[in-house]
Amino acid sequence: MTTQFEEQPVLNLDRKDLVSKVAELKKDGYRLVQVCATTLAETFDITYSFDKAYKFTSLRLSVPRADAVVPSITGEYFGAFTYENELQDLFGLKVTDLKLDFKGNFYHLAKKTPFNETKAEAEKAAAPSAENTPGQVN
Amino acid sequence: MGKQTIIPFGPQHPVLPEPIHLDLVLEDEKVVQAIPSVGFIHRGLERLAEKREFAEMVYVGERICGICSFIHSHAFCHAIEGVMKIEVPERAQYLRVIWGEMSRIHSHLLWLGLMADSFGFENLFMNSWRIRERLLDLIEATAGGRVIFGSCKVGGVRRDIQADSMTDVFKELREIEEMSREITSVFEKDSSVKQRTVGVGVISKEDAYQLGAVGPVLRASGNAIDMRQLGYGAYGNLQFAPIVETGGDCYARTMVRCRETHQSFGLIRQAIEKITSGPIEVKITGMPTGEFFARLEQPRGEVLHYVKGNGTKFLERYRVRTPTFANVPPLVHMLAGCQLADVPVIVLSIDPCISCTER
Amino acid sequence: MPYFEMSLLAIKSALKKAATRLYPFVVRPDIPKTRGRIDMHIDFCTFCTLCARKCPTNAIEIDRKSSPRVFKLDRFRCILCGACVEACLTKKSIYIDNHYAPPVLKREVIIWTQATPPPKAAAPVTSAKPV
Repeated sequence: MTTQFEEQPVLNLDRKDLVSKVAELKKDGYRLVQVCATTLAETFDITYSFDKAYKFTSLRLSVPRADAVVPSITGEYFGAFTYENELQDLFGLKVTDLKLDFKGNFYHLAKKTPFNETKAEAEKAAAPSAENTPGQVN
Repeated sequence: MGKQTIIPFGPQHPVLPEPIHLDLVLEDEKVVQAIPSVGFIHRGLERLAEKREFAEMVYVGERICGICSFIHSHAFCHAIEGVMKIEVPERAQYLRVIWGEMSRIHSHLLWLGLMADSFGFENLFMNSWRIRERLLDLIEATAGGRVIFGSCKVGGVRRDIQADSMTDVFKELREIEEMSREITSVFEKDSSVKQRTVGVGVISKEDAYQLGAVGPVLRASGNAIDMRQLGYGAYGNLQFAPIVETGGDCYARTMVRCRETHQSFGLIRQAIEKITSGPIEVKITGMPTGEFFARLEQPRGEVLHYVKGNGTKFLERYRVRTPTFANVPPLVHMLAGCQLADVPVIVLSIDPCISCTER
Repeated sequence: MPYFEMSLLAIKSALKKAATRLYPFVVRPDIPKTRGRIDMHIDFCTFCTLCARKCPTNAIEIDRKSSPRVFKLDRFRCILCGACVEACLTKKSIYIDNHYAPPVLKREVIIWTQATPPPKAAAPVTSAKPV
């Protein structure tokens, strides 16, 4: 019995085409599955995933970290407000036209926008105080 | 129009298993609006993928949540196997299904107890958890731990259930099924349960689909969507159909979960009959490069593990989107217009697992 | 009758014996596969340090240059995953015991020592009891 790994097409878009493409998908009967952002060296890669009758498709935006603004899709899918507030609170992305905007108060966090750094930046920031772990093997 | 007051619900509340905060805007006992906020149990587990090798992240993935732990580890392994195109042996797939369904029964029995507790029915709460104890002993006998199974790894499973233990598992499950049938018939027929749950927290079929609901919340409103139909693991070889109710209220969600518990017993019996012999793991070589979205059906709904590798032993991005996170907008919709005394019943009816929500 | 479902259940459980055990007079029967605690037969250990490398939480600390050789285990960091047991080359020295570790008053690290054997064979290895 071979494992079935489903096909998962990803469409790369520009942020000005996002809302119109999402409106197309909504008219077609797709439901929103998730919104995810990845912090890379120069850009944020934001992936919007949709599903209809077990067929999975994704849209991907690439926004530069210096100009991190995306339009909201809560006009089409109101349920996206949790994901977009999470993008604002964890990554520092600015989302315009949010229908339900918590203005940074959705996540109660001690350190604001903790995910707004890549692995290399986090290591450089932590370098002066070297991590003190047991498990030293001599 | 009465005067509006705002009262906080949570993060500490006797009925909540985990901390979530809701600001309820009230007008004389009727809830006008509910404003959620999270973050009390945020551990930053997604960033831990930068410090732990991808094969060791299974241990972290398991510990995102206690109740849904096995299926989280299965989803992570499925995601890495999807990126690296690894073929898992058949016996391992059947074992994963058996443990996954045991995990589902455990979660639903726990939830039935909490639901009964939310409207004060302590006797039913204690009886549900009494059955759960026997199931936990069975899980410990096969997997080694009561809550954290520690059995899944990339490329297969770590321990086996021998053939003679399988017959013991079969017999024990029959007894547990008889006992749980008594409990679910109380939920189905008792008039005090019906008075607190029928007509409470209604969400229509269209709204549930558009707001992004998943799991029993979606299926109790009439949408027949169950991620096990995708055929991951050994589900492609088992016969079952998604369980659907049309009420859309708390009673319908309770009925969906009761019937799913009985369906899971049937699925485990099918898997025990069809299981083949053979190896339980396959050796993995190489590093993950590429990305994959693994979608599985947890007891609470559709969970998605997104894994992106860049050729090193540390993953570039690990993202978990849990079912309770997707069920928060339907919850906000359901709470508008309900009575204050119904708020605990509605919050529990979506089965909130907040430690999953905030990883 | 909608009331009798629960009444039947309540009467049945009132007439049966209690579902709880009278611990500590009655102890739960042992389950062989339980992951209780990590324990060592220090005599068989060759100090290859594979277990320390595989441990996901760095709970094992090994010092093989000192004399006697020291093996430290922090039970508070251990998550009982069993990776060390699977990695062990001798398959005899580190194992999972099926009894849970007893509660302690102070957080401490468990230490086993093994006197470094002399280069020519025939000298027995002495092992100290865990502290």
